[in-house]
Amino acid sequence: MNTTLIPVRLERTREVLLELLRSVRSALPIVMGVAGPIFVASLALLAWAGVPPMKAVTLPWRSGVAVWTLQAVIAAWPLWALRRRLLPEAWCVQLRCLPLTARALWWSDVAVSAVLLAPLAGLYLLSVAVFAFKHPAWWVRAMPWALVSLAASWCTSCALGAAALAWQRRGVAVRAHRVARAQAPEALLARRPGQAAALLWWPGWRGTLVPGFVAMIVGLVSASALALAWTLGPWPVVPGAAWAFMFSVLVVTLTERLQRTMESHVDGLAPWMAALPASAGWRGGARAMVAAPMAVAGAIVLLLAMALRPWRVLPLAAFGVMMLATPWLLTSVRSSNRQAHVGLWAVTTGLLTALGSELWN
Amino acid sequence: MELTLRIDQLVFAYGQRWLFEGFSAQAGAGVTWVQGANGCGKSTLLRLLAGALVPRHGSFELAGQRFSADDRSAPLAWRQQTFWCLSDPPPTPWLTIAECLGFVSGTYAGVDAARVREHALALGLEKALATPLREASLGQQRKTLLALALALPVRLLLLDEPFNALDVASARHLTETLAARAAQGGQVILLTSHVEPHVPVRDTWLLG
Repeated sequence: MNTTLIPVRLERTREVLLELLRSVRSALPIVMGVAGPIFVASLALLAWAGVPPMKAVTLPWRSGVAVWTLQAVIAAWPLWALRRRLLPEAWCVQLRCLPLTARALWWSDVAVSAVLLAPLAGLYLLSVAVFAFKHPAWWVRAMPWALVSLAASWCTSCALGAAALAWQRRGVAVRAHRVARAQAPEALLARRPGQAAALLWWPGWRGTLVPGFVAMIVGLVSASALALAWTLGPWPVVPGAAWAFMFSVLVVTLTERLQRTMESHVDGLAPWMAALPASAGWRGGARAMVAAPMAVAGAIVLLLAMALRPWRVLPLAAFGVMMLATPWLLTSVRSSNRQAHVGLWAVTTGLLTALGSELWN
Repeated sequence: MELTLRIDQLVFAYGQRWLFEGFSAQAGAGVTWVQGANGCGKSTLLRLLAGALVPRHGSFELAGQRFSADDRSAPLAWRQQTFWCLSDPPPTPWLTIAECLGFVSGTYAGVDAARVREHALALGLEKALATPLREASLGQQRKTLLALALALPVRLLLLDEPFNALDVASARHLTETLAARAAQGGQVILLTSHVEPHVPVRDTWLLG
């Protein structure tokens, strides 16, 4: 095991976590003000964090494996989400050049993963302590396999997190070796890409906007699934307002995330574009692109509502207008103004939930 | 009438760091070598003339077009006659070299595509045209901007350290082309360089 790499990787991890904490801290007063009671109530749920892996051993094997796997994968998600920050491309390239063994690199990935998932281990221990104190019958029967299952779940999350970091390292190497198709210079130089393609569309598949585009596609698929579940209503136990809330949180968060990615992309291009004799239309295009997922998701809900349920014009129109107004409001304020943005996030989510609930009343 | 770039009472600062406090100068057609120590404002002057930055006070004038501190950004007519060859790689690393050439030249009016091709090939970019800029070498990234600088029909050419990272053959092509332009007299060329450019220099500005 290499002894110098792990401290360097852990120092980078500490920086990333501090950055995250700083961004959360500026938004915390508003979150507490708007959703304080929900937040406090959810603290009580923390003791339940370890329940799924422990409960899994008492379930029929198919359900048990599904629950256990789902928890392990979800718990590893923060590593996947933060992989580009924990291992920037320049680091990946540098790591390939240093005389480090594959084993040392893997161990450093595991160390970073374990540190990031340490709070989860704490929550699991809290769960065990609470259940040991209360010792419910199912838990007593499930012992000691429940503890083995819980520990294995954390270790699997840790391994998946390390794999996500290794994927990031390998991905950069693969991209660097990609070879372009050979074409004649005349054919290559005949192209005159427009602003929309060169500055907004292609970066979504090849450049700085890739994370935003991936989030947009995943978010749109999830929003469509939620819209279907909401309108078809196969689970009557979940009230319409809860579906409306989940849908609103998803689309507003998606828009906010896309806006942040787009702003940093636009800032990088702005000085150069200001010097070229091009119109500023691409900035409007960038704003429209941020609004697009919400417009599409809203259109899906409205079309489903019109097709599947009895509907009234007024709630439908109000919901539609809000789905267009929300991205306009969010993009009117720069995302670096965290307090204003979190306030807007809370207000628009609340309004969309209320108007969405009205669609089926 | 001879082509002249006029800089009048330029004032600019990054925060509290003042770089220009009433700087005035004139440059005629041909090459003007902008000299000065690191951090004295050479690149900033080119950025200001290009429109990438807006001055706090003062104005620029060239061939009947004016760009002043009162404008929120450089007027389109000003940008149409100016090209800024920045010292950094192009900020569109996702584009291939050919796409970058096509995109930038497409924003200018009256571009001769044959000239773009001629300079791209003369700078040795033929085999790299399909390479994304982020995978190209620093020299290839610089040559992409230089091919545009030499091909675009602009009156004001702003070259920020153009000889950096160039191979011998490309540096020769650049030198010969600039020398020919200087002789023709249809272009004001401002060039920053820490080493003496081997081109006929009409004037020298020493900043700082």
